[in-house]
Amino acid sequence: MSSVFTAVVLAIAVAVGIAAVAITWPMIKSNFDKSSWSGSMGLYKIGFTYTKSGAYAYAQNGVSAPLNGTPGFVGYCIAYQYNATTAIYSCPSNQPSYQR
Amino acid sequence: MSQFLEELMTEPIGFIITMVILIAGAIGGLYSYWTYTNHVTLQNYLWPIAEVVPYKGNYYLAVINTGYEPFVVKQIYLSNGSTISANTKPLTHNQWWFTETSQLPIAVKVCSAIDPRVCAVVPVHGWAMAEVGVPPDAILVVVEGNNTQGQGGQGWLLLRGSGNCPWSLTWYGWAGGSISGTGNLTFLIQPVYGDVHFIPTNLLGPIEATPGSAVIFKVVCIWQSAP
Repeated sequence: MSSVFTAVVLAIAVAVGIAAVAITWPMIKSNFDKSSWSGSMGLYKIGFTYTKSGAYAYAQNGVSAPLNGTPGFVGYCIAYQYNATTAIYSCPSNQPSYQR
Repeated sequence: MSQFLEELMTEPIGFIITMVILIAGAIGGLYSYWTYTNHVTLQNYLWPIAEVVPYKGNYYLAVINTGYEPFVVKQIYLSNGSTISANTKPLTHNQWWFTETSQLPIAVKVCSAIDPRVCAVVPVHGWAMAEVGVPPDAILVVVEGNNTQGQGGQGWLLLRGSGNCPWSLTWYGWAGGSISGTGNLTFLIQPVYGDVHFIPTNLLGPIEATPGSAVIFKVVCIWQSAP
């Protein structure tokens, strides 16, 4: 009977171990995913140029939008035209506002 | 004690009770652990980005959900220590939320729409200024007028860019053309691969420009005031 007891306890321990790994895996993956996302956001860029039809903002992944006098979103950035030759923008790669 | 353990392992009733306790403990422990990992996982998949730009004396704050886990914006933390409560609709992937504040926002608290107990406080990204580039084969011409007007000397009235101050600009050189107007105007001379010279009328500005540059003209009319 004691050998049965040991076998059952071992079986439970193995089951708990497998369940723990299965439960832990999504958390581990989410950590990797978050690191990857933070890295990509830290490198996010935007550029501005004139075209025949006016000023345009170009963000990453080919995203572009006309630059207006009011803030609008371009990719993951917000931007607006401050004056004829200057734009003001905020992107995920910009430093936090409290450091300004 | 050893007799107790012996009975646990050998007697059917003791064995069953022990198994029930062990299994219940294992299930309880696993459930607690799952609750913890689920909380951390949901928190890790909250991917909000908060950004701010100054705009007309206020601050324009935008929050976007760059991830796939929906969230609501709960609170905005301002630089003077105060907070603004917000309770937005759930933002899904790539959805924005905008608001204006009078103080500089420094952080935003968002909570998962799946489990409201899972929240994250994220810093608000600040702003920068950038030049709006001019293509290398173009010249950007900016004509700036405004509606101020003032008294010049000796009975001359100086009108700047008002509706009754027509201006014109002619250019020649590598490219040629002319344009006229009465207020603000921004346009490109394109394509140009060499210098261009200007003949301005009622405009103050440079007399020539090179490709890839921007030139700014101020609208100025000087009229003699009525006696």
